[in-house]
Amino acid sequence: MQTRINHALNSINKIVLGKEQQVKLAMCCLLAGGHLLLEDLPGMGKTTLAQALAGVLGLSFKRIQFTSDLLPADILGGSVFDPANGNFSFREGPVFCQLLMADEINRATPRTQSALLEAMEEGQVTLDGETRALPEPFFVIATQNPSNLAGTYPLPESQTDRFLMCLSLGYPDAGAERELLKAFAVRHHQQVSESCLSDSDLYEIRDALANIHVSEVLLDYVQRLIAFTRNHKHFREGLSPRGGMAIMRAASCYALMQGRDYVSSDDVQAVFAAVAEHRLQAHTEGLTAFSDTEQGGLGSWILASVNVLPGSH
Amino acid sequence: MDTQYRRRFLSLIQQRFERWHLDWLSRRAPAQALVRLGGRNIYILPTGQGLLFVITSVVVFVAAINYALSLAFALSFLMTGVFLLTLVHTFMNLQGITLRGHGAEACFAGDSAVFKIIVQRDDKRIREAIDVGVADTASHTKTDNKSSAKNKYNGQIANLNHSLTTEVFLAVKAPQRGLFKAPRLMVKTAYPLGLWEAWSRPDLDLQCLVYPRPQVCELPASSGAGDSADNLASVPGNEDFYGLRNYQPGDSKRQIAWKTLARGQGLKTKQFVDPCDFNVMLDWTQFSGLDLETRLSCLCYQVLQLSARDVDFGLRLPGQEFAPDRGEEHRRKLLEALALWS
Amino acid sequence: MVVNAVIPRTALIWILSVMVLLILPHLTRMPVWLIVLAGVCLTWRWLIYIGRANYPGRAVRAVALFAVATATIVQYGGEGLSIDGTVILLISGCLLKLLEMRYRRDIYIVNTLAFLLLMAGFIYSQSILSGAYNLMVALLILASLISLNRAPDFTDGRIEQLRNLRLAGILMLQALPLMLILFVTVPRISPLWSVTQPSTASATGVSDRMSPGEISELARSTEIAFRVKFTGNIPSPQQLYWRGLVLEDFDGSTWSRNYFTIGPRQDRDYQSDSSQAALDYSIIMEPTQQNWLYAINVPDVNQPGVFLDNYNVLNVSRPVVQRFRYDVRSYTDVPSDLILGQRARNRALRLPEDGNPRARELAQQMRAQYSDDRQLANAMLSRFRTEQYFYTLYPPLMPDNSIDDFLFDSQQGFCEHYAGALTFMLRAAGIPARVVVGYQGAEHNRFEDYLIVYQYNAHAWVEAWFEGVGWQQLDPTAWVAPDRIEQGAEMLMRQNEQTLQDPAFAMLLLMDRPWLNALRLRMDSLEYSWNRWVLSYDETTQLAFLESLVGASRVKWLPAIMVVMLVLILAAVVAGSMFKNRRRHDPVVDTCLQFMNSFSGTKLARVPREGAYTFFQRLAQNNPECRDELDACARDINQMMYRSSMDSHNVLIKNELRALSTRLKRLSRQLARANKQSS
Repeated sequence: MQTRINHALNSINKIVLGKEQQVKLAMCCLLAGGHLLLEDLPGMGKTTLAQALAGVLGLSFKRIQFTSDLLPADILGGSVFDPANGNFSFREGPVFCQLLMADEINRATPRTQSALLEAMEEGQVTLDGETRALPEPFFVIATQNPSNLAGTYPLPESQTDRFLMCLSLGYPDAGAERELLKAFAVRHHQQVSESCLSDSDLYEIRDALANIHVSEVLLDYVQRLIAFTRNHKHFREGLSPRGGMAIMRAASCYALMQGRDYVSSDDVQAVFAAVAEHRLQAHTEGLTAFSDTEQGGLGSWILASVNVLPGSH
Repeated sequence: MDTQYRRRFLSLIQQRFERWHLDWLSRRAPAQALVRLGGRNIYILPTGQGLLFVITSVVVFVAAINYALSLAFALSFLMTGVFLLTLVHTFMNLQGITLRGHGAEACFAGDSAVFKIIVQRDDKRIREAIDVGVADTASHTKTDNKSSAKNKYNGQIANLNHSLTTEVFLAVKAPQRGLFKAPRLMVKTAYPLGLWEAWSRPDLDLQCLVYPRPQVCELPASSGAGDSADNLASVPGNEDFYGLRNYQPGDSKRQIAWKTLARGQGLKTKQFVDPCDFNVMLDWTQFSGLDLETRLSCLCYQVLQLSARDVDFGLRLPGQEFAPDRGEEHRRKLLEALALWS
Repeated sequence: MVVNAVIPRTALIWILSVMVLLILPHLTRMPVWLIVLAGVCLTWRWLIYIGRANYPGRAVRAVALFAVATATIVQYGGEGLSIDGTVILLISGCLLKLLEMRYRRDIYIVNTLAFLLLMAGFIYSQSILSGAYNLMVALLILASLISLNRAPDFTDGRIEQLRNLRLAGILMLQALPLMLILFVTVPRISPLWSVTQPSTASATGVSDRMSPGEISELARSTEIAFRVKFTGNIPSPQQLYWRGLVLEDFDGSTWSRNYFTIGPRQDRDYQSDSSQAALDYSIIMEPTQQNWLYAINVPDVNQPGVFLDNYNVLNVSRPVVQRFRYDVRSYTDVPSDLILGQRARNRALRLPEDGNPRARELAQQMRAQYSDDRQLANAMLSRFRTEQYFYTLYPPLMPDNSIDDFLFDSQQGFCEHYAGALTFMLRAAGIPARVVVGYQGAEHNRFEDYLIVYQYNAHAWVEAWFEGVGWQQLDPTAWVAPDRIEQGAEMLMRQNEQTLQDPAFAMLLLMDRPWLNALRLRMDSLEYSWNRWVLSYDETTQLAFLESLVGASRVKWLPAIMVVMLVLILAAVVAGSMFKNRRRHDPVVDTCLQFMNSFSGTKLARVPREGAYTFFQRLAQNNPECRDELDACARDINQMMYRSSMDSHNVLIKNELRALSTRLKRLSRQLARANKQSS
């Protein structure tokens, strides 16, 4: 299993250069069965990453480009009059796939956004009084431009909570950038040729997640992290219990990808920023100071402030 | 007579003190959505039982002196030790607890607003028997001065032994429409021995919107007929035959159902209705002659009735106007306007 | 807490058991009607508890209250309300309250009654056992209060009850140091007003009259008279004459104390600060209900309420009704009463007009033989040895002319016969003499190095006055049965078949088994320490102890010290519960932290976000030479910390843990060496 996961990661890394950690986290998010939110400036390779992931996982892939005039029906589908036999038939929208890429989700109106997010939450779509199940597994990779750009409707906090992780890719480092520049002509068409993981692999991974050991020491650490966000004066509200569970889920999956059957504090630290930051962002007060001064932002700051092991140091 | 005066005098003093105390608290502990109990806001005093315990310990001490009983000395000192220790234990039972208030759902004047208080601990110490409540000062007003001597206290016991959080629901009577501010909480405990009582008076800034108390009245002429239960949106008129009802003096003679009378079934009046125009406007001016609160109460009743019938209707208040609409959100908006109108 | 809420059943069961346990020790002192009442009340209450009966009505309660009050007044009201009456009243109050105890406010009263009853229990017994018992009852009272103040929780009832008990135990353990501080430092005051004592005690020990057979009666008792602790070496048995009373008046059969001449002694035979040979010791006396104390001649006591009378006997102003502790200094070589006043001399020579003619005649004969008083006395003593006299616990009865009968016919007697006869003859010969009663000898308890004096050590001897010497102690018993003095009274009894059949002396037989004897002495030493340190901790001992503790000059600071210590303990309790908050012991984490914290202060010090794994990796980067071992360690620690479900009782984990800790120790040595080389 682990070799296959590594193989998949390698294939993606050939396409998305120099972003090993982000790729790993993105993979972790999907393997843990969560939806992924990519937040970055245009042109940073968000779409490339999403496509590569879909290819590697061998899932049916659809993409919606969100625009401000996109309507819910454009996503979910709707009844269409069929002149041939004279009655209405349902035409599935792009949401009926296994991996949906919602590009620039914050360009659409809140109404359209919430239509998609309902589908994400419930795994089904109700239209014209009829409930239709979405295929299994169902993942959404949404990309989002930073909300301070013009013409965006930022996702409400209740909806960012539905994404297991929020990643930003950032600029590639010098070496990777050089590679990119060198091969600008070829790379344009590059695709993942073969899928490395199958549906059954995904189910197997989900079963394996249930058997990952979680020790008291680790739970103590996670609780300390959560308690820190709840008690620190910079946060109006701390991490919700759902946020806490998300950390555990992501960390377990990360541990599994490392080939371990137990979760260690390093796993928690690896996923923490991706899982927790977007949930806390809305509750911060005057924390812009942190993202500017501290390197690595809010998540790193929390990790640096909380003891991994109990006791003073 | 004498005792009655004395009781009134005492209650007066008590009220004065309470008022002064609350003033003092409002300066010292202003309202906050989240309050953490600690040394700054916990007060502690021995209870009646605690004082009796001390007196007993003194009696044992005197007996120990007189009979020169070393073990009785020990007993007396043990009691003193326990008394001092429970000071700590009782205090620690409140210390470190976080209280968070959640605003109640809107209610009608005279009903109880139900506030949710979340009691939470972040540590491993077990807390027990914490009485969270409010002195329900609102339940007696100046009008009923007979029972005003005693503040009705209602509270609930919160236990934090197995769980880290627990919820307490407090029902406080909201007497008047408007934005109701719940009185200060009273969080107290006498655990473990009941010798001391530690308390805190946090103000969690609990607020609740109070709608006017609905008062039964005629629905406006252009709206659905009085109390007919069907959902048909219609108003009394003279277009379609609607049904029969018993004759009431004043009914038009042209509407008497002579045929039924002939059949010997009594005097009936024929009723006709017009289809409703779906654009009822509830108007402030329709209740001219009534005082302000009664008007609002009547309007409240009408809003409730009409929204139950699922018709479009609007509301016109001096200086405010709401276009006809329907639905839960609309209803809420109108009721809120009625509650806050002044 | 709402005071008029009904008492929860979980609390009720505690309160009921406390009640039963409170009444139990008083059972023997309770009159029959009270025992019946207790039975009725407890049964009724039990029926109410299980739902078979209802609470008694107002009329029933009123009648019961009236009946109990009347019965108590009739039985105990005569001499004002005695302590027994008070206790009975408390008990019946408890019992009646039991029947109407229904609401929380009733607990106020029950609580007060319970603690007062606990205290009353101490009036009757302050033994270790009763102390432990009452401590347990107090624990249950606390548990009942806790269960009363807890909100009902509908989980497993039994566990909840155990938790009540556990919390009560914690509370008690925390209260004990506070109690100890207060016990040691709170100044003891002498009684504020005089109180009646419980009636059960009757006078024991040596009495103020001595007729033949009385001391031998006493000598069959194995009860303890007093215990003695010497500051220096314990003197030889021959020196251990514990003087009690001087009996001067003789009516022909009985020697008795002359109460007219008792008074505090004006002149002393010694200077208190003289450098003469002296014995220092402290005595803890069992209650005798008498006014005199026992000491070696010539005693000196500096204690309020204790005075020395004309006969050099220690007296107390109030009868010894409880264990009484006093410290004595005895000047053994000081002559007593070198000058004898005429009246005293007359008293010491007075004899009845007639009776015992043969003894008087013998005395006259011997007087004629020896002109010197001391030679005469010696002759009289040696006569007891040369003639066929027997020393026995069971002498025949001698109705009239007892001295004649003893001296010339039966020639069997116990110490009182010899002492009485010798005194009589000395007086008949014109030498001032008197009988002294007290105890002689003692048993040594090696565990605490003190002496136990039993009732069977009771003894009578003689003091005779010689010109230029003063009062001189003469013990005829030492001439008749030297073993009695040298080896102790119990040796004497062992040799006597008759004695050993006496059930009271079964103990003597048991002492043949060394371990049993050791056990008995061990128990007694425990009791002695209890008496010495706890029960007799009064004004004097307190002052002495505190002075030895903090120095005489600093005693006045004690209240401040006491307050500071109390506050410190309370602060410790607070800190403890705060600490409990954050500390959870995981052995692996502890071992790891120990290692990691050893780097604190250096540039390798651990930062908060570092787990063990990251820390070790950083170490490995800094110390490439130990890289392999560090990596292995990091892996193993991670595995142990996060993989194994931590259970420190698990043997496997314990072994791994031990291996880990040795490995870490080796590592730190290695690292230290490497650092030294590089620098």
